[in-house]
Amino acid sequence: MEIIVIDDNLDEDAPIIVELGILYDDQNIKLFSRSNDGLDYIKKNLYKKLIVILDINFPADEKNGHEVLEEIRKYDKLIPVIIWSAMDGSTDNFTDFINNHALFYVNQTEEYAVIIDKVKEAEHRLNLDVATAIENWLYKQDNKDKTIMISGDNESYSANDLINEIRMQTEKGRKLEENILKLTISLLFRGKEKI
Amino acid sequence: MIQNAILFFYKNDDKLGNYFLNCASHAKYLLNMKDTIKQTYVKNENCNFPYIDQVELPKHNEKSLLLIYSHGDANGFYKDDCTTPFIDKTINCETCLNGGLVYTNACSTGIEFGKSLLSQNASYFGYEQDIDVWLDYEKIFIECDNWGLYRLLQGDTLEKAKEEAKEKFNQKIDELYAKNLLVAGALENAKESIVIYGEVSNSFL
Repeated sequence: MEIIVIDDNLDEDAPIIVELGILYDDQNIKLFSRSNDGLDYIKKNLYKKLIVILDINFPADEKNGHEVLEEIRKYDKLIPVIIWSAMDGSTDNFTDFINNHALFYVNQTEEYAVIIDKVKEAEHRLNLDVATAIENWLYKQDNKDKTIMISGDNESYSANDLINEIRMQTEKGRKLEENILKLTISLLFRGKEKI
Repeated sequence: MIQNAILFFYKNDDKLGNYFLNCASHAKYLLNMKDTIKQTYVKNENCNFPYIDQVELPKHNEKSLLLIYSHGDANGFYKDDCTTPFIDKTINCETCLNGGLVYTNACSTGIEFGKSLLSQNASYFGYEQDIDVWLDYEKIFIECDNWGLYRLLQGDTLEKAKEEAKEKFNQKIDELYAKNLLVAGALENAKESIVIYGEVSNSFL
């Protein structure tokens, strides 16, 4: 799992970066001071388990936090994004953060422990997430472009297609998740698996 | 007992045509185990409503088993264009449906079509949801799709055949889920989609 921190006021020695490096290993912490660079990295690494910590304000020639989150959601509805900013609700419009499913908002005036707790919670959710488990399984397929499934409405899907359906939380993607939940319940009730 | 089977399938679909053909071939193999059942095949371009309604069904003057391997929705059965049904709720064959049985793997036909057969004193075995087919596991999907038919041919009632079909799905799910969760999930969905209507306590074959 990688933690992507997009913030133009931090450097590698910032206490939060050091703390995250201790918890998750330095190589798994990616700091971007330019939001466009952070966004590019996310787009190229969607196959990894990612958690994003995102500041709101960036220089005028960079995308701001609102735009970065909106752009991320065009590619993946599931990546946990924690908004981490000195701004508060009275000075900014937070509606689009809610609509684009930001996971948490943490004010930068809070103790570092708060943001660390939120990252841990995001990690916990990722580990329990059915969609993430399905995505990981699909990524292990040898040929991800080969048609592997035909749906009832006569659409063909490769592993890459299904990954996209999951990420974008389409009807098909949600149906795959639903099937896994039904399967899990059935296996438990039939005594094939235990909690 | 039903001694006449009419088997419908459309193999010219570039995605699932081969699957429907293989399902029909498997059904034929099962039917051949009981040599008292006459078999008629309606396939490919003959899978159209006017031909079936006005030419094929009127030939059958006894209660029949209609086996249908095709696309489907709540109201009927389709070729690959999925626009004009070749069989739908308006199907009417007083002799072949009265006391007869429709057995199908077509998606969602249990929702409306299956229920509509009750008004013609016919029974139904099929699915009430959309079903996915995983191509590398085609044999398993075919075996599960046709296990209810196999049990009916062994003399099971419709109700018992449904339970046995679910048991077959469970057996395959248990073999698969540790290595392929998504395929097992698709089988679970299909298993839970099986519905029967009509004379559920009857043995038909």
